[in-house]
Parts: sequence; C-alpha cells; structure tokens
Amino acid sequence: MLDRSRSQLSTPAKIDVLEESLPSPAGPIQEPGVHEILMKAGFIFDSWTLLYNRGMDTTGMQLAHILRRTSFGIRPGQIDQLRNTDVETLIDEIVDDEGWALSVEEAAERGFDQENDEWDALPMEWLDRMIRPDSGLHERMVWYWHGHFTTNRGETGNLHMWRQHHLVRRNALGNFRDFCFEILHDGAMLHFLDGDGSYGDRPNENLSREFMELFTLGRNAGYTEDDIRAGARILSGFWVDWETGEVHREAENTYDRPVRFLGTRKRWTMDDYVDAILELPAAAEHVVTGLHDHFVSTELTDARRSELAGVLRSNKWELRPLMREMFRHPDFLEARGLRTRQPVEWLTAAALAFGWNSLADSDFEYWQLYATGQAPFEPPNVAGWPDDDRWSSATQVVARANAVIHWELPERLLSLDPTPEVVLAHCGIFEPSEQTHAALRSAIANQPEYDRGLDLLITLALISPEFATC
Amino acid sequence: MTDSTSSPDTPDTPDTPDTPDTPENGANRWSRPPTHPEQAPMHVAPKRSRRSFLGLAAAGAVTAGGAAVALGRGASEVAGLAPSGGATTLAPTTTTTPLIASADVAGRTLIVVELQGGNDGLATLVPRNAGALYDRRSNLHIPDEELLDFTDEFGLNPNLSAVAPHGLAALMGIGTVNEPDGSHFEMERRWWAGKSSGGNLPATGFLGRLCDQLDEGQPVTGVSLGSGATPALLTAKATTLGLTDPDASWFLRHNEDPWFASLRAGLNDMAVAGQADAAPRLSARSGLSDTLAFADSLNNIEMQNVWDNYPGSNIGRQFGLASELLQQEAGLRVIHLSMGSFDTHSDQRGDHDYLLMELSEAMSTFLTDIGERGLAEKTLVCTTSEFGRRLAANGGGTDHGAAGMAFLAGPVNAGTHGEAPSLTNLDDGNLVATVDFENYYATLAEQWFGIPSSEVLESSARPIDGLLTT
Repeated sequence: MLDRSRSQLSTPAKIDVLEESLPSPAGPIQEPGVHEILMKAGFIFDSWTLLYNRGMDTTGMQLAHILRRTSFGIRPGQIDQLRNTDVETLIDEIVDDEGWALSVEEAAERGFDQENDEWDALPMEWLDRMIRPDSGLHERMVWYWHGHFTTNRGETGNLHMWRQHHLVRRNALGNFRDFCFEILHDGAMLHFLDGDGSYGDRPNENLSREFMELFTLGRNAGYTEDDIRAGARILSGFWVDWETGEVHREAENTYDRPVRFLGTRKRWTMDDYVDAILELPAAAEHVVTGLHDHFVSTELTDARRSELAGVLRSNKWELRPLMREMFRHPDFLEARGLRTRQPVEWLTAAALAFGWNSLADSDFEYWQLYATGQAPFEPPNVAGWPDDDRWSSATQVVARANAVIHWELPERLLSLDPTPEVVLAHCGIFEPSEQTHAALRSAIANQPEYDRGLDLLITLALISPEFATC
Repeated sequence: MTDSTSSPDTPDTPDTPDTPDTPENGANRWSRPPTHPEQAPMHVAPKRSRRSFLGLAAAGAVTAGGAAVALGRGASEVAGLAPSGGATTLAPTTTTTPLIASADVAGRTLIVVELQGGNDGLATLVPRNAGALYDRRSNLHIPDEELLDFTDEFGLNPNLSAVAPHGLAALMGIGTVNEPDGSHFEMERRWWAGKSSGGNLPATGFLGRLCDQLDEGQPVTGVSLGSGATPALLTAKATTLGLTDPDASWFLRHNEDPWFASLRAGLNDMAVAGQADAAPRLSARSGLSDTLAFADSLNNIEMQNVWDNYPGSNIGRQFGLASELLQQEAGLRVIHLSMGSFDTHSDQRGDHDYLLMELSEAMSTFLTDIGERGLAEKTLVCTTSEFGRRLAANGGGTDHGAAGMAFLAGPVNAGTHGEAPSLTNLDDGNLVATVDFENYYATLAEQWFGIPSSEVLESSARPIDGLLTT
C-alpha cells in the first residue's frame, strides 16, 4: 500500500497495461462549452456517447451488460479479454458456472459462531467471495435466493445462517423443486418462520403462509386461508437444535391424520406437499417473475411470463435452462442501464473498480452495507429487498461517497491516466452521459494535481448515475 | 510508484502542511477527520482506511441484527401502507376529533431518540420504596435517597440530573398490548413500521408516513442522524435521508479544501436530467440532487458550535447537528437520533448509568440551545425503545422484557402519564404494558402535528390526552 502522505505525484505515471489494451475512446471533446450549449438545445445530446463509443462496438456493450447483470461487477480490462467471445458463447459459459458450495458435513465442520461474537465475519466472508475472480452467475444466484428465501440472522444466529447459506449455494443453479424441499428442512428457515417447535395440535401458520405467498405462488394465487392452516399441519413436528443447527422431526408432534390441502384430502408427506404446490400454474410464473425482476427488468408481459414459466416446467424445475433462455432474449440484451444497482451490487462493483482482490481482512464493507440498509443476512422483512429505485436515493449517495472517500487508492490505480475517458472505462462505464462526462472534465481541470485529480475522477465515476444503474 | 516522492520537481511535502488537525478542517481530504472514540469498538479502522474517519457506526445495534431498508423517494409505487407482500390499505379517515389548527402546528419539529437495545424503564424512572423491585434485583438497586425528585411514587435515575430541570414527561408502561415479542429484531420492526401487533408490516415507517403528511415539497422532510437508512423513515413520497452518524456527510459541508468544492460541482453536473435518461438514471440523478439539497442546508451550519458547546459523545453530536439543522428553516420536520448499547445483559449499573448520563447531557444541552434560539415551543423531543427489561436481574444485568417507558421534553406536562405497570402481576416475568405504543404514535401525529392518526396508523389507536401542553 502506498503511503499517501508521502505521495505527491507531479506527472501522470505510465498507463496500466490493462488500460492500454482497452479500446481507445475518442478523447475529450475540445470545446465543452459549445458542446453543452448545443446539447441543451437538443441538437447533439447524444453525440458524446457516439463519439466516445467509437472503440466499443455493440458486442462489447452487450458483453459488458451481461457481466454487470450476471456477476458482481466488471473487472478493469475484463471486456477487452473477451473481445473474441460472442454473446451466446459468453452466456453459455456464464450459465454453466459451477460455483462453490460446502456439503452439509463440510459446512457443519467449518461451523460458525452461534453466539454472534464475530458479527461482521460472516457477511465479510461472503462479500470477499463475491469479488473473487471466479465469482459469476452462481454467486449472483446465491445472492438472489438469499433475498427470495429470506432469513434474518438476527433471529437465527450465525451458525444456522451459515448452514443455510451453503444449502442455498448447493441449490442456487440447481433444481427449484429440490431447493424448496431442502429449505423446508433448513434450521434457519424453520427458526425464522416459526416452523421450529410448531406442533401438529396447534401448528404455527407462519411458514405455511410465507412458503406459498412469497416463496412459491404469490399472494392468494390458487390457495385459501384454509390451505394455509392445513399446510401448517403438514409442516408440523420440526424442531431445531439451537447449538448445532440440526433439524429433527418428532412423530408425536407431527400431525399425521388426513388433511384437506389444495383440494385433496389425504395423509401428506413433505414431498407431496411441495409437489402439490408446484403443480399450481401460479408457481412457475411466480418464480420466473422474481428472477426476471432481478436479472432482466421489472417489466414483464403476461405472454413472456407464460413462456418463461413453460421453460421452467418443461425442464422439471431445473434453473439453468431458464436462466439461459432469459439471458439470450432481446428483453435482457436491450435492458442496459434499466436496473438500479442494489447496495451490495454497487459495493462489489466499486470494489472491483478499485482493484480489490480480497475483502478478507476488512470489516468496513459490512458496516457500509449496514448503513445502506442492505447488510447481507439481514433482510428488512420476509419479503427481502425490493428491486426498485430507492437504492439510488440520497441516503445511498452519501453512503457511497463516504465509502469511496474512505477507501485508499491502491497503488495499481495510481498508474491510471487521469482523464475522464480512462477512468470511466476503468470503472466499466462505456456509455457515459454528457453530464457525467462534463463533470469529470471539470473535475480534472479543477484538480490538476495527479493523485487528487485521479481520486476525484474515480470518486465521481463511482457515484455517478451511470454506476448507480446497470 | 515508490519513486514518486523523489521526483526532483516535487517538493516532498506532507499532505497537510499547515493546517492543524482540528475538527473544523478535519474534512480536509488528506488530513484526519474527527474520530468517534466513543463509538462501538467493532469499528476497527480498516487497513485500507485513507483516514480514521468512520462514517459507519451502527449505533451499537449489533445484537439487534438491525435490519434496515433504504430511505428516500423509493417505494414510490407504494401507495400508503402496502404491507410486505400484501395489499392492506389504510382505513379511510373517520376521525371526528378536532385536530389542532394548522397555524399552531406550522413549523413544528419532532426529535425522536431511539434507545436501541431495550432501555430499562425501571432503572430510568425508579419506583420508590418498591419491595417487589428490590427483591428481584437487589444488586441493581438505586437507593431512594440517590433518586432525583420526580413524583411521590417515582424518582429519576440520578444520571438524568442534567436534563431533569427541563421538565420531563414520562409515559409509563409503554409496549405492545398484544403478543409482545422478546426479539430486538421483531420489536424494532414493529416500532419502526408503527404496527404494534406485528405480522404483515407496512412498507413505510411511522416517521416516514409523518414525513409524507408533512411533505410540502421541501428538499428534505426527515433525516436520521445516527442510524443510516433506518426503516423508521421509509416514505411513500417525501424525501428523507439517513446518516450513519452526525459526521457522515462531512464531505458535503463547506470546506477549505477545493477538492470538496470540485466534488460538489461534479455532483451538481451529474444531477442534471438529460433527455436520454431512462427512469433508473433519472432516479439516480434525483438522489444526487436530494443530496445536494441536503448539502445546501449543511453548508451554513456551524459545526464549531457543536464541537464547542455540545458533549463530545455521539449522541451529543447528533443533538448538536439537529440543532444546527433546525436553524436552517429548510423544512425539516422529523429528526431521528439513535443511541445504542441499551441491551444491558451485564454490567447494567455502570453501563446504563453512563448511557443515561450521556443522553441527559446531550438532551439538556439541546433543550437549552433551542430555548435560546427561540425554538422551544416548536420542538418536541421524545424517546422510543423496542422494549423494556425484565423485572428480575440476571447476574449483573437484565434480560429482554416487555413494557418499558418513554420520556418526552419540550411542550409537555411534566410528570408521569398513564398507568405504571404492576411489579407483581407479571407476564412470564415481564412487566405488562398498560399503553400501546400506537397510542403514543397517535399522540405525536394528532396532538403535535395535527395529522389524523388514521392517516399514519392502520389501527384506530387514540392519542393520550394531557401528555403534551398543546
């Protein structure tokens, strides 16, 4: 780490190799004043983008878009390394991502502190993994499902959460039906939604309700309040060992008589229960809607929803074919810039732009996310975090600026050419608006001293509207 | 890069050559901004820290598993109170109670101090000569002769001596009258959302809904100065924002270092809407302009007043910044402050006494300050806490309880209000609430702001008469 107190760079240093190999942008517009006047008059409002992007063709833009949406950010130079890859090949590679997960036994062996003494260690371990070079769609799906099958460790403790985390990892790109079955047997989930200690003679309805309302079907989509009560009986009998996170089911506390659930009266097994719910037409539609909201956009036509639901059903709930279909569709490829980055997505993308390879020795980022309202493992309620534009509010701007100012510029960044073009490209912003470009031009004019200028350019780029969206 | 300092053209000067490292110029980007030694110890300065400044206190709410969601313009699609995953709407306004004339409530502000962790009401306002109390927690006993005069039956904890002369109103036995919960997480959520029965909670916070009602187009209607994105301030339309601590926006304040002026100028450039902006980018620009609007109100404040006149504790600085913000007359109506560490499972006497002393000194300074500035009649200070603590001690501390107490200062009728909870008729060892916190909220809405409670609460909770002098 360079000691900033001793660094007074007088001249721009050599350009980083990665940066040198990036497509070279057109360079700054020479007469910004005139340009801005024309822009305001509506003549050439987008000409800067056109000029700037001369070195970045449509394929490059799409590759960047795919990476932004399917991982936790673009690494500086990453697009250039993919120059010979076509969109379909990249999507195939992304969807085939194997990811990393511990088995039940391994997760139990690694353990975690249930007394929560290392409160920031668990989320930091995950954040660290999000920015590793091998982090891709699988990791991103783990994040998605964490917000879908929500559980808050404030109630469950770190150990139970850790065990669930690896359950989610094992299923993140697997089979949704199996995922549902496993999550219903997960200690953290059972504890969070009161399946833990729910007895057949007086079952708690929380898990039964949320499993249908939030996890599989959507509110009132094909079930009744009676079905919620019946489902609670079917789900009864579990208890969770607080010390180990292991789940047990006791026959004497499990309702074992016939129950009328979703129109059928019989003795239900857990397998029957999951299958009956997923049989309902609303199930696949609900699941694809959530994934589409997160990965594509919140705009989804009924026709497209049915189409995607069909893909999920015809593949027997396997997730990879669905994700491949989603990413190959024009709806996805044309949705550039239409998503507001959530705080975790912003933080990881910013960390990558800063050049961090690891967050293992830090706790700052956890508290940063805590401040934004999106601390991992602490969703605000059982519905998880919304996909909407609240994530670019003033609260977020202050928190983001605070983080960027807080981070030390690493040495590798101190070789960047301090120009708007280089810094924007470095941060993965290939389609800057004229406003943002003007802001960076003025910034470097106002702060010509090398490290202060570069610092300002990076700060502005990372809190720009472009970087807040993806 | 290591040879950069030996450049013959550049004098090897330290970054902050002349300016002393005082809080006033602490925002100099290359010096050390003010630190918060009293903050929770888990905020170890990360290795990458450019400065020791930590904008990320979590108000010590570690064990609370404090979930939070972002604030701000978000949730714009949420009309009124949409519960998570649900569609409950507010009951139509049916109140016939004449509310306060709007001229009387104009410009009134509410300062809510959230005592996080569960404040022990029994050690805040102590029953005199109560054998039942002494028997159950003799080791935590505060001798009668040490208590400050309050009423015949109750004496104030002596550590409240600074604020006591301002005249406190104490609301006794506050909690939830149905199904109290022992979880910080659950009870915080209920208090934040303003629904004491729990279950499907509104997507907005109670304070956020007050802000929605008080929104007259001002740049910012509500701020949190210590909790970041507290769900309490989540709105449907008004702009609110959250700082993690009173110094979290230091880089937005006026600063001698031109770097910060350049940063502000850059934010300003990027906040300008463009014709080509898609909705998410427009929202991101709004986030920037809201930030700048807030920065404008910060620009004229005198942090020196805060540093000179307020206690150096985190809550002292929060109160100080609150006072400075109120001087700006920028339309701010609700200010949320927070203090952590009230979860006194051990070492309660020392810890709790210290917390009360910090609160008392900060609050007293504030009340005197706003009195001198002529704002006393327009400013109400009140406290919240997710629950009280159990009657019986457990070792040197107390466990999570149910009913607690709240106290208020400003235009209030000093003394106790409501019915003190019984010390003998307990619910599983816990004090039984005698008043629901929704009644408290209804009082703040109707009798302080003239807002019908039906506009901000799902239930038909009525105000508590006589608490406020208005």
